[in-house]
Amino acid sequence: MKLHIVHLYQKEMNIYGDTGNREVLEYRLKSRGIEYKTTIVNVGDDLPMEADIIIGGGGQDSGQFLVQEDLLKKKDQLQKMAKDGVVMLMVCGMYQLFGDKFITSKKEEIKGIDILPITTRAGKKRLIGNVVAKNTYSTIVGYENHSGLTYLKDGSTSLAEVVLGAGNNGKDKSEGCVLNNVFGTYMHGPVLSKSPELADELLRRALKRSSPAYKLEKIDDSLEIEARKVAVNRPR
Amino acid sequence: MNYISLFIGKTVMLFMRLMGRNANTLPGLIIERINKKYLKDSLSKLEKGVIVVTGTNGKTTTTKILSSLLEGLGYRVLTNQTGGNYVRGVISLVLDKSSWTNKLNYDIAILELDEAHGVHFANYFNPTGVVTLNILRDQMDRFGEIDKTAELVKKIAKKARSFVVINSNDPRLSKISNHLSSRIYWYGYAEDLKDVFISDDQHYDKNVKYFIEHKLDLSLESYSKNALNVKAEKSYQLPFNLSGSYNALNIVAALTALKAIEGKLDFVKIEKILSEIKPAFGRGEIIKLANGAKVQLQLVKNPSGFNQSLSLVNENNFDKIGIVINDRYADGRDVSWLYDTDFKNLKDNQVFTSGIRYLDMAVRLKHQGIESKNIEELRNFVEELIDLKEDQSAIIYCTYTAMLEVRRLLRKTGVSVEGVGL
Repeated sequence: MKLHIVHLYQKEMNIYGDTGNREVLEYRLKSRGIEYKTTIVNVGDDLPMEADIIIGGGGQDSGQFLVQEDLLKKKDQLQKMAKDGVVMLMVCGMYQLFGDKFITSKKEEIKGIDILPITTRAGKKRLIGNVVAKNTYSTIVGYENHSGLTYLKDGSTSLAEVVLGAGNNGKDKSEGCVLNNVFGTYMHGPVLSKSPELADELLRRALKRSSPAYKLEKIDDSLEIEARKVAVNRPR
Repeated sequence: MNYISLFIGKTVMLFMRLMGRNANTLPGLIIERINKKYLKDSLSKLEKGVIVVTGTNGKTTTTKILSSLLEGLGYRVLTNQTGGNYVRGVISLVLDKSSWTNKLNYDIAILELDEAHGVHFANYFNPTGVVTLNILRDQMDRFGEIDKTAELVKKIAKKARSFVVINSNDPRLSKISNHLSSRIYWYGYAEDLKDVFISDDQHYDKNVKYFIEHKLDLSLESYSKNALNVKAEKSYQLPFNLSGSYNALNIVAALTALKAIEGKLDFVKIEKILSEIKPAFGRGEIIKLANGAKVQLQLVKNPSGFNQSLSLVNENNFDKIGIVINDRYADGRDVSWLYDTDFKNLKDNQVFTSGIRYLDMAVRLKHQGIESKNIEELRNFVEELIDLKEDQSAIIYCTYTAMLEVRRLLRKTGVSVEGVGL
C-alpha cells in the first residue's frame, strides 16, 4: 500500500501557506507507517495517470492567470479522476478554478474546469479574517482572504457552516463545497493543520479506494486540538 | 499658522510625556487635522531633502545604516527609526525635533515607511529619493498580494524628485524602473550569492536562477562573519558587524543611497563608520545577562525574513531557541505564514514556544518532526530562556508585539536592555 499525493501548481499557487496541507497529510501518513510518494505538478508538467490525493492552494491573481490555460489542458483528465473518486482538496484560488467560471470585476469570464458545482463572481470588498466553520465531523478553523464570491449551485453541498467569518460569499453561511471526494474551501491556515478530522477524512477516503480493508488508526492530536481551541477564540 | 500648530503640537506632546504616555501618534494626529501644510513646510526646510526607505524586509536596519553613514559624514539627520512608521508619526517626529521657535536644525530626513503608508506620504510630499529594498511575501492579510505591494512601491518611487535606489535582483522591483523618470541607482549581489538571497518567485522553485537585468552601481560580492566585499568602480573590503546575509545586502543598499545623495563614496570614512554600527531595535540585538550569557532578539514578520534569519542557527551554537508568535494587527492576523517558513534546521535544538499563537507554532514544528516545549505564560517562557550558564547563549524569534512584550519582561527581570530603550 502506497499513497500517491499530487500537489498542483506549488510554484505558481503558494501564497498563503497552503503547501502546509501537503505536509500535514504526509505527517499523518508517516505517523501511521503508511508509505507515500509526492509529485509536484507545475505549469507545463504532465499530470500523473494515477493519483490518490490531489491538492492545490491559493495564489495571486497573476498566479491564477498563469495556471488557467494549463489547467484547462488538464481538465478532461482531472474530471475523469474526480469521477473515479480520486480525493482532491482545493483551496481559495484553485477552489474557484474548480468551479464552472469566475466573472471578474470587469465582467470578463475566466473559465474553470467544472468539477465542483459552484460559480464565482468578483465582489466589491475583500473578505479577510479568521473563519470558524462546523460540519458533522469537525470544527474547521482558518483564515480567509478573497474577493471572489462563490455560490453553490442547487442541490450541492457545502463543506461546513460558517460560525465566524464570511465563507463562500458572506451571505448564506456556507463554507466550501464537497462533491463525491472533491473538497473545496476558502480557508487557509493551512486548513488541515488544525482540523485533524478533516485531514483523516481525506486519507480515509483515499485509502478506501486502494485498500478497502484498511482502518486508519488514531494518532495523538492533542496539540492540534489545543491549538484549535485557541484559534476559535480569536476575534474575526 | 505653522507656528501655532507647532506650539499646540509640542504642548500636547509635553503633557503626554509628563503623564508618562507615548507621544508618537496623538500630537501628529491633531496637527494633521488642523494644519495640512505644517509637515510640508517643515520638511521643505531640509536642505538635502527627504529620503524614503521602503520594501518588505530590512527597512529599519537600512534606515539606521544610512543615517549612521550620513551622521558620520557630518550631516544632521532626522530619522524615525524608533517607530512612528506613518504620516502622523512623521508629523510627531518633526514636532518633537523642531525647536519652540520653529527651527528644524537638520540637513536631511531618512524616513522608514512601509509600502501602504509610504504611498500616503509620497502623495503628500515628494521625497528627494526613494530606496526600495525588496518585495517579498509579507503580512498577506494587510496588503493582499505581493503584486499589489509592488504597485504600491511603484507609486512611491514615481514621486521621487531626484533618484530611486533599486535592488536589481528583485524581479518585481526591476520591472518598476520602466515607469520612473528620476535617476536610478542599481545595487544587488553577485551570482555566487544566488542561493543566499531567494526572491519570492523562487520560494517554491528548486531551480534557483540568478536574476539580473541592469548594470549595478554597487554590488555585494561576498560576505563573511566580520567582513563584506563590495564592488563599485573597484572592489573594497568593509567591516561587517551585523549578523545575517540580508544585513550585508542592506549595507550595500545604504551605500548606494549614500552615493546617490553625495555623488561619490569615500571608502576610507565609510570603513570607519561601518565598524561602529550596532543592530537596530530588535533586529539581532544581543542582550548580555548579568552572568555573561547572551540572548539575541530577532524580529520576524514574514516567511521570507523568518527563513533568512533561521540561518543564524546554523552560523551560531545557540543553547536555547525561543519562538514567540502573536497574531495582533501589527504581527499579521493570519498565522499561515508559518507554513511558508521552513524550520527543519531547528532539529536537534532545544526549542521553546510562547505567544498568543504558541500552539500553532508548536503544531507547525510537530509536522516537521521537531519537538518543542510550549509555554503559554510569556513570563515563564522568558525566565526559561534566560536561564543560561555564563558561556551559553539563546536566540528569541518574536513577532512585532511579542518583541515589545519580551523586552518589557526582560527589563522586569533586571536585565539591562542596551541600545534603543522602550
